[in-house]
Parts: sequence; C-alpha cells; structure tokens
Amino acid sequence: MLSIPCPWCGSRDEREFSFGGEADRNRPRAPELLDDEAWANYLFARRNLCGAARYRVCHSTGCGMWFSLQFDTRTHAAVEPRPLDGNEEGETP
Amino acid sequence: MSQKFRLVKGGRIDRSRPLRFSFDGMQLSGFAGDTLASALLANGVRVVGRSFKYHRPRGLLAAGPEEPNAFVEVGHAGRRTPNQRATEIPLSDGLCARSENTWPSARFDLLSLLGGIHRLLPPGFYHKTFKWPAWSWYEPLIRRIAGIGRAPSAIDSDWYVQRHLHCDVLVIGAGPAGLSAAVAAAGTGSDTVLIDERDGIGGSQPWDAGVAGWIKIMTERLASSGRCLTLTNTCVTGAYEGQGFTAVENIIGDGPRQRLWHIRAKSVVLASGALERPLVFPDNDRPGIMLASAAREYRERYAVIMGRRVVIVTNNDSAYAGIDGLAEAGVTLVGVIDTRPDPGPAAGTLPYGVRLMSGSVPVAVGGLNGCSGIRFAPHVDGCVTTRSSTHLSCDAILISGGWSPNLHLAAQAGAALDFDLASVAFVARTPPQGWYIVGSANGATTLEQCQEQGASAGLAGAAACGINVHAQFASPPPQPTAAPIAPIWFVEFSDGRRHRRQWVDYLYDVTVTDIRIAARENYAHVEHMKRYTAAGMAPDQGKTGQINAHGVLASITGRSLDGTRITTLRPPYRPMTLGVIAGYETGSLYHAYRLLPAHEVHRRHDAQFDEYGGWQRPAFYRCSGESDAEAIMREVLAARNEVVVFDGSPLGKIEVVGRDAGTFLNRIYVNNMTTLAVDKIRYGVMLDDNGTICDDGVVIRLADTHYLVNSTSARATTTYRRLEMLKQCVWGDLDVRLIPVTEQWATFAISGPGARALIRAMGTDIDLDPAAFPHMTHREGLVADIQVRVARVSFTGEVSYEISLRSSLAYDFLELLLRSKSGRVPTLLGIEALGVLRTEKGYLHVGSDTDGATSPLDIGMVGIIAKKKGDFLGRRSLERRHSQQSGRRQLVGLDLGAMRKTVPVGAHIVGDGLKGPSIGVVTSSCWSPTLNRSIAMALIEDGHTRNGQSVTVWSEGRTWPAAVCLLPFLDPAGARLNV
Repeated sequence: MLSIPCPWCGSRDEREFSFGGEADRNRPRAPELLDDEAWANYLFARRNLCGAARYRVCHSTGCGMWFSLQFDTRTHAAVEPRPLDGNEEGETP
Repeated sequence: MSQKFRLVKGGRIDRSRPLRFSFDGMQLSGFAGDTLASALLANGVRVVGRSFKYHRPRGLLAAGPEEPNAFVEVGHAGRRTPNQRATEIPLSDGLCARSENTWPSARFDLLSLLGGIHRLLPPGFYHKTFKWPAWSWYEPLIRRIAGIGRAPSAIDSDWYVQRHLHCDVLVIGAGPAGLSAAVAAAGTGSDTVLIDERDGIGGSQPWDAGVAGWIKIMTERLASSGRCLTLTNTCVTGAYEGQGFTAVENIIGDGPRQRLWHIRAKSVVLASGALERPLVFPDNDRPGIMLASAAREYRERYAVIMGRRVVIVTNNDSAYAGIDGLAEAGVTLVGVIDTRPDPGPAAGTLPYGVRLMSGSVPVAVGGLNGCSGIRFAPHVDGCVTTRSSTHLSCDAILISGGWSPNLHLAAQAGAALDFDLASVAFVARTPPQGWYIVGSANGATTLEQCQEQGASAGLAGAAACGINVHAQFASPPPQPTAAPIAPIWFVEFSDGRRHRRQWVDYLYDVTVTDIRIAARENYAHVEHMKRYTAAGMAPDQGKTGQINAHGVLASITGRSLDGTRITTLRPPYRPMTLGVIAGYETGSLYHAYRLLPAHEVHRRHDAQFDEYGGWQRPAFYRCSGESDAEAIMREVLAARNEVVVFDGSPLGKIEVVGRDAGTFLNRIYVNNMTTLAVDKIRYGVMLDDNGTICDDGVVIRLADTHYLVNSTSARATTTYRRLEMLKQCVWGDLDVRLIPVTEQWATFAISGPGARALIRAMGTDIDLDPAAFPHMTHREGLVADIQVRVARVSFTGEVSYEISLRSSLAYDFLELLLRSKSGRVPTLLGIEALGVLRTEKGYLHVGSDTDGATSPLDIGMVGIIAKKKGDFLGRRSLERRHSQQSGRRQLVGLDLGAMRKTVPVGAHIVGDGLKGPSIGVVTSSCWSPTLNRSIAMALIEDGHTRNGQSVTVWSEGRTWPAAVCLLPFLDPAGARLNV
C-alpha cells in the first residue's frame, strides 16, 4: 500500500485518500464561450502521462483537505504535496 | 506403534511430557517440543501424503515451511483446517491429523491407480482439453479428483485480530544474521521489530553449545534494550509498496487464533536464510528420501533419525557437514554419491570405511512406500552412457542439490532476481530501496559472515531512519560459496530407452519429461513452462522445486542460466487463512449499519427494518394479522385521510455559510438560489458537468448568508464531499463554508390533513395558519417546548411539516408525538408507503427514476433553465446537440387502466405490437390505494411527446398494455398541498 504525504497530516496510508484527477485540468471560467469540441476536451480528454505528473488528492478520511501531489506512474513515488492555491479555475479562453 | 526411530538421548524435546496424537486413524505418541512431522518420523511413518496428480506415495522431504509433501488436515468441523504442513504444526495432546488427497489413507490410496494412466494427463492438459474434443467430456472426472484439501464443514469457531505497526527497522528472520541486525539496530535507540516464523530465536541451524550461548546473550541484550518488539511464530507473508508488510502471527494458547500485522517500516533487513534444493534423478520422490539439512535438523533438534543405513547424494560440500552426527546417532553411512567427478575438500574428511562414489549419479531407487536401495552409474556432464549400474542397499537417502537464498519477499518488493553462475543461485543484485539483505539470503556461508553482515545492516538501517550512528553498509556481493557446487539439474540417458520418472515439482507431479514436452511444444520461456506444466504453482509455491525447474528447462533447451530472471513471486509467501484477512469484519461487524436516533421507539412499534443507504430504517410497521402489503396500504391511506409521522432523520443536511453562499449554490443548482428569500424554500436539482442529474432536494435560506441544503438520504455523504471538492478545487476564491450536519439533526415529517391539528395539540409558538406559514416556507420556534426548525415541504403531496431538532432529543420527541394529548395519534409511516405516496404525486427519486444519462431537460425542467442566468455545473453540456436531439428518454407516467396487478420495475417499454427495440424502462411502479389502480413511472424515448400513446410493457416474456400519461397521477393542481 502506498504511503502518501498530506501537507497537513504527514504520511498516511493510501486508503485514507481519494483521487481527484490531473491537477492541471481546471474547469473553464466561461464554459459558454467554448465550442463543443473544446468543452468535450475539458470533459473527456486526459493527458494520462507516463511518468511523473501532478494530481489532485483529498485526504478524505483524515483532514478532508484537497491538495496536489506529484506522482510517478512508473515508480509510484508520491512526493511534493502542495496545498491548492485557492483558485484553480481555468483561464478564460 | 513405538517411537522406534527416536534416539535414546539428545534433542530439544521434553521427554517428561509425552503427547498422544492420531494420524489417518493411527494412534501415535510423541513429546512436547515435537512438530507433527518429527513425531511421525519418530514413529516410523514414512508415507505422509500423496501427490496431487498421480497419487504417488510421498514422505517428508524438509523440516521447515518449504515442505512440499506433508500437507495434512487438522481439527474437526469449524476448526478443520486443510493444507497445513506437518513440519509447521506443533504437536499437541489429542491432535488429530489426516493426510489429504488420499482415500482411504496415505499408505493405501486407491486413487494411486491413476499413476498408471499418466500418459493421459500430459502437461498442458487443460490447455489441450479445452481445445479438443471438449472440456465437458473431462469436467465431471476432473472436478471429482481436483483440488487439495476439504473446506471446513461449519462456520469458523475461531476469532482473529489485526494490528497496525510502524517501526524504524524491520528485521525479517531471527537467525544469527537477523539477531545481530536487531541487536545493532535496537542498540542505536531505533524502534526495531524482529520477526521469525519459527517458534524461537536462533534460526534453522542446530547450533552447538557455544553458538547457543551466544544466541542467549544476544536475545537478552535485545530484551534489555527496550526498543525491540520480537514476534515469533509470525510469518511475513507479503511485501508491498511503501515498505508495507503483512505478517501472520499464530497465537499459542487461548484467545484469538491468529493476528494479522500491518507493518510499515523505514528500513528493512532481510535475513530470511536459504533453502536447500533437492536433486533430480530417477525415483527421487520415494518416501525415505530427505534433504540432508532436514535430516540433520530432525536428528539434532528432535532426536529422530530417518533410517539405520543411509546413503548421501550430493552435488556440493554442504551435505558433508552432518556426517559426524550420523555416527554418533548410531546410523551407518553406507556411502556418499557425489555427482562431481572431483569432489571438494570436504570429501577428504569422510570417516574410514565410507565409500565415496564421485562422478556418479543415481539411476533408480528401490522400494515403494520407502527406500530399499539405490542404483548408481558414472556420468559425463550429467549423461549416463553405460547400461550397468551398481547397487547399494539402504533405508534412507539424504540429498543435497545446493542452496537457494530465500528471496521471496525481496522479489515481491520489486527486486529482480538474476541467476548467478558462481553461486548457482538466484540473487538480488540490487536490493529494493531501503532494504539490506544479509546472511545466507545474501550468500553468506559462515556464522561469522552472518553476524558481521547482520550487525552492519542493523546499524545502516537505523542510520537511514535518521538516527545518528557512524555506520556504512555496503551490501556485500554474494560470497563465493564455501561449499563448492557443480550443478547437475537432472540425469540424462544416452541409450534412448524409457527410464523411471524424475520429479521436479513434487506436489503437482511435474517431471523432467513434462518440462521436455513443454519445451518441445514451444512453451520454452520459464513463465510459459511454469503455466503449461504447473511447476511451482502448488500451495508450496515451488520453494523446493522451482529453481530446479529453471535448471532443467535451461539444460533441455541448451541455454545458459546466466542472467535468467526467476518466475514472478507473488504474495502470500505462505497460505493465509481467510479468517485472518477478514479480521474483525465478520458477522454483524462485516457491514455496520447506522441506526436512527429513535430506533428503539420504532422497534417497539413493530417496525420491520431494512437497509436503505447504510441506515436501518422502518420499511413498514406491522399491526397484528396484517400482511406486508396490507400494512403499507394502511399507512398510505392514513397519510391521505388522517395524519402520519415519518422518520426522515437520515435526510442529508449541509449548512452553507458565507458571503458568497448564494453565488456558490447558484453555480451548483439548476435552479436559481440567489433570488430565494430568507425563510423561503426552493426545490433544486444538481448536475455534474456532463449535464446529468446527480442529486436533488430542497434548499432553505435561513439568513442572508446562511443556507441549509437538503440532499437525498442515500447521497448525504457523497454530495457533501462533492460540494467540498467544488469549494476547494474549483471555486476556492468564494467566501463559503460547508458544514455537514446530517447526524446532528433528527427530522420527523408530520403529514396529512390532520398534520396542523396534531402540532397545535402538541403546543407550539409558531403560527401555523396557512396564510402565515404557507407551503415552501420555513420557521423556527418551539414545539412541545423543544427548539425546532420547521419546513413546510412535502414528499407525500399532503400538507407536511418537516420538524428538525437536536438528535439527542429525537427519542423523547417521537414518544411525545405518538402519545399526543389530543387523542389524535399519528400513524407511523415507513419507507415503502412513502414510495407509494411520492409515486402517486409523480415525485421522482434520483437513482430510481433517473439514470446516468438523465438530464434536467428529460424531467421537464426546460422552462426553469431558460429563465436562469449565468453558468451552473452541467449547463454547457445541456447545450450540446446530444442533449437537445430527439430520442432522449424522458420521464412520464404509465396509465395501466383497470389492471389489478403491478408491472415490474425494470420492465421494458416496446412499441405497440412488440415491434422494434425497447424504447424505455419502467422506473417506479406500485398499487395506488388512493386511486385504486396500478400506476407506474417510466423513462421513454421522446416520452413528453407521446402523451396518450399506447405502448406495451414487456418483462421476461409477459406483456401488459399501457398508455403514456402526464404526471402526477394525483392532485395536479396541488389543492391538497396548499391549504
């Protein structure tokens, strides 16, 4: 079982966390300005990187806080937990 | 039977405590300190089991957990445990053990007749029979003879516990290397855990008095350090990511049977030792053939000998180590067959009179249920070219094929095990990060090497945890073995004749010929060969046979073993009971229910409980003599004609507070929440960004910056978590806080024409006049002198007051309600009746009447969305062509005419005349006692345009005529509600 560092609680068992997808996938600020393809891209497209990438994680059975974490899909190394900076919404297109 | 193979003195058994036990119905005796295996040997029991496929008689090969033959079943009924190794069962008085896979007993097994048809059971048997002629031909026979062991016949009467453990240094194996590591690590003050699967400290070797004294001193130092937890009788079964481990502790004596440890360590010292390999030669599975190291352990630890006249067969020097002890025990060493043409220096130490047959290999072993002699012949590079052979008579054969470091756990943790030609073994050239592999698991062959490697690894492990020690640990390369070895993987014959079978995997009966066939049929990769022949797949996980299988395959295919990877080793290292994995989570703890705060009151009123969304809730309340349906109908009519009380405490409640609370909710709900006035209530639907409905419920505005969101009971947690995610990850700039208060508030809905009178009778300071307190508004005040929140919302279609109060007062409040002084006692309403009431009113239930594709457009919210300004979750998706086009399934009612029966939920809707595909499904269905007819709701393609159209309901071949109709079925104008 992975040991995942929470920025507030320290390292805890994987089972205390829930996964929230890629950290750089932000909801567009003005969806009404997007065409169907761009909106579908936001809804369905994922980068699925092989290797290290940043993901959103919630310490759901602990402090309940969301944060981002660098996770390597090859080595399963989970490092550099970082609190969210408050406004993760995407740029206006 | 007397213990005729027990020596008169010696061993670490307690001769003052004789124990009686039975095996296959034989009454036998042993001593305290024996294992079942050593006691069976002492009594001269040679055949302890039968092989899986051919039912060959098999005897004890090993003395430890690697034993591949002596699988037995112990205990009765709920305590019956199959597939236990006799070598691991401590002897206890009255122990009852039976051999497995045999009938009627291990010694006389009628199924051994199968041995004659081995040519019908080739390698890849399943693969081949699936292809031709048909699996069904073989299945009945195979099912009957397949499997090892019987499942227990009753519920497990034992209990099991689990614990979590975090430590600095985990030391696996308490032999000299592990013990040295633990003492060194604990000495630095680091939290150390020392685990061994045996019942004591010291490892598997039978040490002399000098070493035993050292072990005693070290054990005392460990105890006095106060930093080390020592777990014996505990097997580390799995190594997982993040230095996580599972270990199963067998608990001796009363209490739970086993304890599962979940261990997380910062550093790991693996001192798991090495396992001796058997040699592969014709008839090498005869009972009476044993690993040389095992025979030595039985002799020195349990004072048990294998036979009076023994022959040693070896390809390395280690087997010579125990020869002195044989003579002391009065055993005649008839000769040593050393496969090496030029045996190592140890051969020179043979006592006078012992024959040394170097450069020879065994070609046959006499006997059936034991050994009567051995034939051997000279060989060149493993190939026998002569037809003549020499015979030696003997009653036991001790074999040694070299040593394999026990690296299962390192492999599970991701270490690649490569074959090392110098030591003829698989080694971990790069241990996993944070691991230190020491002792014979690391190729050490002397006690001093083990002690040195262990001590330096213990210090290095502690240093890696941040403890200030001056230690450098470089994993020493595998030592050139002090017992020189020349591998001989099996015996080849140049004459081309059929020779006796040579066994590689004992338990699954894999022979050299099987591996040869697998290679011939192009299953020549080790992983393919393993699956084709099943070598190494038996419950013993190939601890003794797997490496020989690699060697045999390499020889047959003419490849070098250098650099070969070992087949994947997976947890568990040793079989685990299902009970210890389940731990506490059995019986009523398997799935714990939540109980309503007033559960006891419901129980006393004959509530029939059922599970709804994790809660135990009253489905209905039974009056004497009623059927289930009659009770539900009575409750429905009481709501329509009198007054009912419904316990809605699990209703999801989330308080939303902050300057931007309204903005936040406006982005989450389809409905406009900023225009909601204080003390007003509005129904809302929540979508995800795909535009599908994920929850609904009412929103109450308690104050300017304070809302109360009600979610569906079953989704209370999910919806709260979703809102938190949106608040933290999407709109972190909004000033809003979310407080889940579902369990802090109990909720009772008082509903029906008599609701107002009932509350008045209880006494309240709230003005209940419909003009002062209309439908969809909210008040706070006192009812029966209890501070409450009252919401005029209705899921029944009748005048309803949802009264919420502190959970701790729920019990008293419900008691008061049911003892109303006015003489008007409300009927208790269960979930089933509520379902009927809401279906009559056409109120949808998210998850029943909607699915993962239903949008708010499909449930008739087009107008509301058109009026709303600004973005909300899912809005953009509702503008996609897919959301707008025809053919979407829309929620409608079904008029079933005068039919007396209900239609099944899930039934399909098909066009008239049963033509074409399904155009929808029934989502809710019930008998309406109010309307005195059967009603149903359905999701139907373009349902909103089909009003009045006749359709057919189809389920499992039965059909019902129906017509699409508008919702609701009852009181479309809301006349019953707005009074």
